[in-house]
This record gives sequence, C-alpha cells and structure tokens, in this order.
Amino acid sequence: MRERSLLMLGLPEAGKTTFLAALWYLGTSSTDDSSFKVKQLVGDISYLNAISRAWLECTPLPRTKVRENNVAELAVTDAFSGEAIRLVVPDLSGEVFREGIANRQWDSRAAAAAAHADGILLFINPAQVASPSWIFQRVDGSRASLGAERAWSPIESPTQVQLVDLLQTVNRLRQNAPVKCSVIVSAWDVAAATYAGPGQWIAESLPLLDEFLTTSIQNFPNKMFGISAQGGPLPHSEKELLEVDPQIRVRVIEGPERSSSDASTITARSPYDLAAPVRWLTN
Amino acid sequence: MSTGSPQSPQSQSVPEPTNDSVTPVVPEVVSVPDWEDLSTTETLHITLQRPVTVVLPIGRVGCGKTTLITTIYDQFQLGPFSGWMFAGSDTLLGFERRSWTSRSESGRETADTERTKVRLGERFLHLRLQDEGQAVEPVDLLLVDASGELFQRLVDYPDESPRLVSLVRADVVALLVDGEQIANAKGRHAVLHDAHMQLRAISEKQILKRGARLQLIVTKWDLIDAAGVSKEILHNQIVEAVLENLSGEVDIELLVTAARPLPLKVPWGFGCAEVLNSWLKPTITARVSPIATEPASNRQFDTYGHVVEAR
Repeated sequence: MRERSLLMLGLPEAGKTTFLAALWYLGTSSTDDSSFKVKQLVGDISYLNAISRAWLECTPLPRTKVRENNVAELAVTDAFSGEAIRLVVPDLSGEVFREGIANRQWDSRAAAAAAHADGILLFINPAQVASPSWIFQRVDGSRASLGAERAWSPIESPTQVQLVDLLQTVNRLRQNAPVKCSVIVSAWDVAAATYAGPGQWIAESLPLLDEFLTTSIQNFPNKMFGISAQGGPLPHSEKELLEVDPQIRVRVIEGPERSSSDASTITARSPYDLAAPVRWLTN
Repeated sequence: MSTGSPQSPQSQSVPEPTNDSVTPVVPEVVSVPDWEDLSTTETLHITLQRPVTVVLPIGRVGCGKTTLITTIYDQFQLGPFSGWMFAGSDTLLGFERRSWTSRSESGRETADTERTKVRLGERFLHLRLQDEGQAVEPVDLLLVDASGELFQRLVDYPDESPRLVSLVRADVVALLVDGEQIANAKGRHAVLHDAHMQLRAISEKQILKRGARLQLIVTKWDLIDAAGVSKEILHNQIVEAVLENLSGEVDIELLVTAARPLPLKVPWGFGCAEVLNSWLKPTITARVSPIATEPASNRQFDTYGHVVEAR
C-alpha cells in the first residue's frame, strides 16, 4: 500500500480539523460522492471518530491545542483507480504555525511534517483575513489613530504575508524540493454569494499570496478549492444543518490549477466530494 | 531592524514525523529563517545561485531611501505592480518591519519611516519578481538599505577607502534628492550641492563596476509641486547643480517620485512604477556632457511627469 504524508497548514481557526472530521465521515459512509473510501479500520482511530461525531452533531469542534499530538491515519481506496493508499495527516494546532511565525522557531513536529510531506493542504478562513492598510491612504486626511501605538512583530503582518512566510519556510525546510499544494478556502459558504470561485476570492482578498502561488509553480504546483466542510456557521445554523443529510452537507468548488501541466484536471466527483483536494495531491 | 542572521534550517536535521497519536507532547523547536534584512555575506546564498540586480540608493539622511524601497514592496500587497508579480522575498519581514510605521495597524497617527541606523552598515533587502506574462525567468533584486551618513563619509573623507561594498557591486546607483528640501528656498542649494558632491565623490573614485547605471531620483515630488517650484528651477538648479563640473561624461537618468504623498495630491507610490522598471530593465539613458562647458539653455527636459530624462 502506497503511503502519503500530508501537511495541513494554516493559521488558527482555518478549518483544518473540521475538514478532517468531515473527510473521515464521508470516507466511512455509504456515499458514492467521495473520491476516497476508507478501506479498512486500522490503528487508533479514536480521534477521527471523536471529531466526526462532533461534526455530525453540529457541535463546534474545540480548537486543537498546541500540545495535542493527533495524527490521523486513513487507509483509503481511490474511487477512480482502485489504488489503496495510507494517508498520514498530523492535525496540528494553528497556534503551532502562529507561534512559528512569531518566534521564528517551528514546532519540530510541524517542521518534520513539512520536510517530509507528499502534499500540502493550505487552509484559509475568509473570516480571519487581516488586510494591510496604510495611514496616508485615509482619503479625508484624518489623523485619527486606531488606539495606542503598538510595536511591530512578525505576527502583526497581514494574513497574506503570514501565509507566504509559511510557504517560504516550508520550502526552506524541504530544501527547495517541490510539493503539490491544495489551497483550501474554507467556510466557502460565507464567500460564495460574492465571489465566482476561490480563485477570484484569493486574487482579490490575498493578492500577494496569489502572486506568490502564480509564480511558484516549480516549488508549489497548486490548485484552489472553495470548501464548506461544516455546511454553515455554528452555532447559528445548527438547527438547519441537523436537518440535512450529512452526506450532502459539504460543498466543494474547484478553482484554478497552477502547475506545469497544461491541462487543468477536474478531480471532484461531485459538489460533495470533500476528498477532491486530497486526491489532487496524491494523484 | 534586526541584525541577527537568518537561521539555516538546512544545517539542522529535521526528525522523521512521529506517530504517537493523542499523547500530549512537549514540542521541541527548529529554528527557521527570520526573513529579515541580510548582511553582505548573507546575500551569498542568493548571489551564488542566480544573477541578481543590485540597486544602491544613496542620499542624505531622511531623503526617502528606505521609504522608496518599502513603498515599492508595499505595492505588491495590492496586486501585480507595473507588470510584475511578487515571487518571494528572503527579507519578507525586513520589509514588513520597515513598513510598520506607515500602517494603520501600528496605531500611529502619521506615517513615518524609522531612520536606518549607521552602525548597522549595509543591509540588503531582497525581492524576487516575475513579469505578469511569465515570458521570462523571475528576476532577483537586492536593494541596499544603509544610512545616509555612510554616504556622507564618501564626501567628507575622500581619501578613505569606501566602506560601502555595494558601491562596487551595484548595477544601479540611485542618488536620491529630497524634494522637500528643494521646495524650501533655505535648504535648496545645500541639498543640491550635497548631491553634487556625492556624485562627484563616486565619479572621481571610479569605483563603480563597468556598466553600472546612475540615476537621479527626486523624491517627495508632491511637495515641490505644492510649493510651485517651476520647471525652470527644476531644470537649472537640480540638474546643473548636481552635474556641473563632473569630470568626463556621465550617463544619468532622472526620475521623480512621491512615495507617500500628501493626501489627494498625487497617487500613493507616484513614480515608483517607473523607478522599479528602470531597475529591472536596461533603460535608454541620455548622455550628459560635462555641464560646465555647455550653456544651460541647450538642455531641455522632455517632460516633468514621472520620468524626466536629461539630454
């Protein structure tokens, strides 16, 4: 069985654990929509069972703690090729990456996962984006400040800079070895009404990251996805979500692919194929 | 500004991933690059791998060298700039640190740029850029950020060996002249004479590498414009005062910028696109003969907009 190690990269509350919970449920359910089916139950799957249970109950998942060492292992079958694949996915807290940015020291588990990953899932939550703004751009010329003056630190950088920082650091840890990257705009239901797709959202909301991804196809061949793994915001939408068949709660929108391959690959089996970003990495 | 060198993760062994599920751990840490500004030695990992263009902005303390560099970086935060896309930076956070005092998030009331400290010597900022059409390979720019006091030493102690390694490495030497001083009758002559002396010191030492290009960039153009300084004054006083009595022939290109202009006067980053393009592409520069031998009336400017090209 081929083994593929994946790195889930992202800042806190980017949707990593929710994605993993829904991926596990859909892989073990009877749905035909998933690119991956869980072939057999092996090893310690208590963590996956716990988070998917919470996902099914529409209970907000607790934020992953820095010291938790959750490594998900999924023995799956590719629904297209029939190939058996063992996915190894550490579920590291977003705080791990945030602290890495702030302290310029990465948790060794994250560094190891980055150095040896066969694919990267980069998660971005539209609700958590901090964009840069400049004092002299105030059209009215006002001098009003936003509060007390603050000292600079790396963590004060705009979200797009932090994400480029993470990718550049991954590249350095890998000594420039290329790795495919699925860029996942999570909570896509929030942005779906305004944007045609994740490509447009990233180009308009995180232009520096978009430029970096466009120009980095040698190191990070990438494809964008808009994903609503929860189905809607919790706890606000809990009641409605509980009424929906869990197999069609999720939504997957494919975005542009940037790689040296000329032809764009369509990977999702359906709008409910949450495994599509993973399959794009392992394919 | 940090003087610390970026860590080199290549030198550290990255452990294999563990598979110790759900067991709380005390994380060990691995140092990663700080993406801060680079020393001359620290640029080697870039310069030894691929060709780079080294740009050396020089000029008085406060003339806007760091602001110009930072503003060009900031433009990429808004999308492709002047036909170029951001393709990475080994000094990403060095730019961010410099830009902080101009950001609303800093809580400041007015934008500012922290003075570059003379004791830090020459620091390099790195930008990797690719053209939007992706027709050519990405290009690497190394932008020198050094205190104006270091350049002043060239003028004050001409017998000293230059302490600026970048003077010999620079592909472009951009002499910045403070537009605010030009707009002010009291400071005008002194600032132009300073610029002249800096250019003369460089010219007489003959230390620039073969093919290096010289630029004269007038910063804070909005203040000159607001002060109603005429084109004639710009022509007669800037170019002639700076270039007169230089020995030999000097190729020089003139540009004007207003990196952080007064609100609503001219757009933010005015002139920065032309400056960036001039750094990245070979430009046709006009040949300026020694001015002392040529009547001023024989030289005209094509335009007084973004690019002013001396003839």
